[in-house]
Amino acid sequence: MTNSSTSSGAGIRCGFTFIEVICILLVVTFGLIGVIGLVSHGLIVAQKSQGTCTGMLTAVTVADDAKPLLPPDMQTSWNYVTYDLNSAGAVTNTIVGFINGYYVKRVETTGPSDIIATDKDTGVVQTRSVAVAVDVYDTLGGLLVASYSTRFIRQRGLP
Amino acid sequence: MSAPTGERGVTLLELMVSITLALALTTMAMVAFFSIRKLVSRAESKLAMHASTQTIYHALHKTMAGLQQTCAFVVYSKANTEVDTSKPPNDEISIVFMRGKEDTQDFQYFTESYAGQSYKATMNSDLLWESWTWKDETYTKSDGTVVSGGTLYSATNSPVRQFSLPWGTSISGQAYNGQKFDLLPQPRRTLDTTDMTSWQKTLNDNQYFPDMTAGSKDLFDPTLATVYNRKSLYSASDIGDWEELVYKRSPALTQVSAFSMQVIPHDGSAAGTVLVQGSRSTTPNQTKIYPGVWLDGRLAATLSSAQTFSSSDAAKRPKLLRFCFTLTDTSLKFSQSFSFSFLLPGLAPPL
Repeated sequence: MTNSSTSSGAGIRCGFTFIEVICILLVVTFGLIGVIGLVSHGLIVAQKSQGTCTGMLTAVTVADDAKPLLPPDMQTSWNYVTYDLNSAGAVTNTIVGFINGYYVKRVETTGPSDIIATDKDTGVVQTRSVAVAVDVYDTLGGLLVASYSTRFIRQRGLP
Repeated sequence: MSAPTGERGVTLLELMVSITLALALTTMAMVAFFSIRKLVSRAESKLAMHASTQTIYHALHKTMAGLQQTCAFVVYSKANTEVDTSKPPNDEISIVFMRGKEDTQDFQYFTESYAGQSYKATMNSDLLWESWTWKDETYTKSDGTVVSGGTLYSATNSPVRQFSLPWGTSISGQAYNGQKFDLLPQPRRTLDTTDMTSWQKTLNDNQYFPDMTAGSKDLFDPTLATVYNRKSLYSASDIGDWEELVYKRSPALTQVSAFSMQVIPHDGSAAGTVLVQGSRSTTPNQTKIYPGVWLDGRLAATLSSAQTFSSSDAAKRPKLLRFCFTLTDTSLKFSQSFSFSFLLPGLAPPL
């Protein structure tokens, strides 16, 4: 605070100067930014640690099982779709949804060259190789937590 | 000391404005502090839940990977009639199966020379019963607080039940394509399905081959038949396998609620699919026993029968196991649901 001089020379308290207010606001702002930054950084670290714990396990689960067992209130958020194993061209089957606190994208692809066995009479595809890629994202910042890809055999009529 | 000339005190208005501002700022700071504290606590709690789940996942994965497809697989849910909400209902959902032991160190027991070659008969001691059981332990305290959740328990047999494979030169096994096959043991391939709990009673006899006649000389060296018969080497005074599984249950995960489990068989049939879900008064009484496949790979009870994969027990064995459960932090009123699926050791149809 400053004391402004008057003509009588007496010191009169007249409040903060503009510079002082700006300085105080800057200090408070920096402090708040620091606190918010620390908290958000802590949350991001926690989210990353969470991803380290179960991100890859979730990816493997979804890769192995396109229709995992979800709580009733979360089943509508899982857009499970099937495709025709007998498709002639390339097939891309995408499933997205929320599971284990993550947003997951599962892409299953298979092409004509992946057909392994067809019915000798009808020509219907019975077995084909498929490639599966799963990406797991955190729901806080949308960062990629884990990716997993594999290849397996699909048989007609079997899970 | 007198006050400086011209300096005045704080007016009442200034004082009240200052106090109001200070109170507002303090309130805001406290709200922010408690909100951040809650946020951080929830983040830590959530992280702990994921870490616990990771541990359980690996434990389950490890035991599931050792599943013996030659042995019976049981999935059941048991409702409890407890309606007093101040007491835990103790509804149960469980799977029971045999798995391979980590230490599969067998030892050479006999060596038999036959037709210029040496054959070994070993004591098999690598099978253990394993169970994973969820019990609903939700109850209401006297002050009205609901203690939510249950506990996931795991248990493994400790006394290893040994059995011997038949050996000897006087084989009178089943004839198939001009040869005789002696490898017919079916350790716990089937269990009694007379009623919901009969399979538990039969486990308590501790025998891998309860259906075999003691002292049978059919497939054995007659001189040793009474000693190394096809019944397992057990002591009648020993604790029963099922009793031991119950006795040895140890908590693996706590605060588990809304537990459900689904078993998908290899053939994907609806008849073989079992979904068990648990919560007070809605848990059904349900038992499903999947018979094991034959140890020698055949697909029917006798070698002379049609070996059809689609109608065999092999096609009906569990292929996929799905789990879903919710972990709850009661103090923070925070929950996180988890879903995991495990592929079980595969059984491919013959080409």
